[in-house]
Amino acid sequence: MRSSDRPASLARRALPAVLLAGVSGAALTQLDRPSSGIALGRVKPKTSTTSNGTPSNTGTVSPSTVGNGDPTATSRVPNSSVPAPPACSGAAVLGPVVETRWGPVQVKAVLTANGKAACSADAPVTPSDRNRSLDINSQAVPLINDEVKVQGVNFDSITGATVTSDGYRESLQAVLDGKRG
Amino acid sequence: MAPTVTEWNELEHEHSGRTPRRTTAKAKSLAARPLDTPRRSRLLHSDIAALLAAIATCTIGVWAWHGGVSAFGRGWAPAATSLTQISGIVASLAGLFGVALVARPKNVERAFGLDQLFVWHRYLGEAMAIAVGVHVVAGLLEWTQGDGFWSAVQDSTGRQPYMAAATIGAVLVGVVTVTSLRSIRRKFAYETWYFLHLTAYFALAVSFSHQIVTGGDFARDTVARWIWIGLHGLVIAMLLWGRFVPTFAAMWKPLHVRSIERLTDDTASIVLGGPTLQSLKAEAGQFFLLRPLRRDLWWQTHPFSLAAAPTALGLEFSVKDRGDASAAIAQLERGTQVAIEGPYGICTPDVAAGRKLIFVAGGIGIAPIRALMQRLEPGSEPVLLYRARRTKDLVHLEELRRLADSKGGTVLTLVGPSASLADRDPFGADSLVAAVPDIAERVAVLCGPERLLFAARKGLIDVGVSSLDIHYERPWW
Repeated sequence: MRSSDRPASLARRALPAVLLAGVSGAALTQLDRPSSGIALGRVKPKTSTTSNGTPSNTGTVSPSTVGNGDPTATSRVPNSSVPAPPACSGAAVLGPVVETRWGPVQVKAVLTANGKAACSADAPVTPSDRNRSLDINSQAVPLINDEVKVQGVNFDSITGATVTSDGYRESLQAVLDGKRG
Repeated sequence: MAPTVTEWNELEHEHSGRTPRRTTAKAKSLAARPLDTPRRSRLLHSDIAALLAAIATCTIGVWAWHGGVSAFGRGWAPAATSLTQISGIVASLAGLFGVALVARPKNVERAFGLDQLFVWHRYLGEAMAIAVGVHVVAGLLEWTQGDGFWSAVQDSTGRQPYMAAATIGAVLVGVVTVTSLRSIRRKFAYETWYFLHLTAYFALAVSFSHQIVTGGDFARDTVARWIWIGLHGLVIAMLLWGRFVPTFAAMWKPLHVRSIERLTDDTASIVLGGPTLQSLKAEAGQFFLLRPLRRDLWWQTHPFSLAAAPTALGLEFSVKDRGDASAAIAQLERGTQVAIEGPYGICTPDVAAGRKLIFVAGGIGIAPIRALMQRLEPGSEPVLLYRARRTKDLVHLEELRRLADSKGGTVLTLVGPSASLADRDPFGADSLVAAVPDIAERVAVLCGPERLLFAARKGLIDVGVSSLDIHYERPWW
């Protein structure tokens, strides 16, 4: 018998697998960047724009707010606070700056003639300290803008951008209450 | 030097004196209480098929219930979604069944044999790899409709929740699949391949979350979700119970090397004993996975067939140095602790079912056949065809002759490298019939290298032996 034969060590045999697992784990933490707004980017617009027929396959949306790709489930009754379409009073007004956990949010809105509801709104100021905030808000704010047109001030929060949503709502509500930034 | 005989022969005149008689003494000393025979399971193929069909029907039924089928009629976008869902479900099911098989459920193993379990495991693995491929392509297609292909890639590699994990899972499935392709697997040491293969568990684990959260069928249907989670829990339980508990139990109460004896320059006979043998059930023809509890060997197991009918005194194995850790096992010291897993295998004496047997052994493949011969009834007239490269590789020859004689049978040998044989195809139909005239009526048991198995199987089928009457362990390592 070849007495010189020594079995290979565990370390040597396990090395490729351990490396593979390690690389996988590292890649996992690097790649995982969920809730950057895209989750709703494909879902929420359906509430205001035409449905593109894409069944929602995004887990971040609760079943009660978004249907199963079924057109009847995605249509939503507009919030009762939304006025009849006419009579927007041209000039945009700035709302107060609202400090959120991640930074300031300020809304600029076009109101109805009676000032009781928003025709349209935008948020020129959103948290910008972090790349992640920029990434999220660049996608979430247009979605919220769209939602405001349909649902008014009590729009549904954007999952993955709830802080911005809350700040936006607070600032907008303040505008409707007569406060100005 | 005597001229080499190049066709099946009895070789009586040559080696009668040279095989050590000690083996005989050993065989006698081990002839203590034979171990009980493990009961053969009565499961049929149709039982397995029915169980799998039931589970598959339930899960695929959930998909259909949610409109998975009708989606194909509503344009390519819903169709892509639906295809993503069903391919994902199929991939997961194949993965789950595959893991369930390597949990080595006793009922199934005792009916079909561990080798069959691994063959099925391989099919399921291939099915899973294909399904994962379809799943990834269909999923990308589906999300491409949103903001284009690049956005879909970003979404599925981590911008969507849990999708980074899913992507890692898919990549690992790819790695595990590629390293299991035969041509690539051959380049790895068995253990290197095995540890890489274990990352499949990691793949299954990390891809689970996206099934529950993103998968339309489970995210929105509580009942379906809990069925799905339960199915996974069941398989994990099977794995713990069937795989981890026996391994740790074996390491907790191991056997030890009672004796080790060199049979030839590269083959040793090793006998394991210990108190746990008293309650063990095993039968000749079965095999165990041996795990020597030595610093450098405890992390690997090696399959060895019982080389003698098992008794409460000891389990005998013949270990041939094949150039890997088997060399180290063939040189274990007396008293070394060895954990065993098993027994496995269904090639036991009852395969004869009252008929005469023809054994075909190649090299060290003689080990289980020696054990089987010891268990045969007198008058059973077994015939053994014993093929070896060198005369001295004909281990146990004397004892085999004696065993065959005592039961009215014969031992025929054929020695020499294949190229040197007068009969170029010693397992051809003509050679077999010439050597054993009544071969077509016999039940065959084969053991040896892969090439010998396939050659002998082909020859036996050519002479008219039913494939159901040819028994052997498919090589799966």
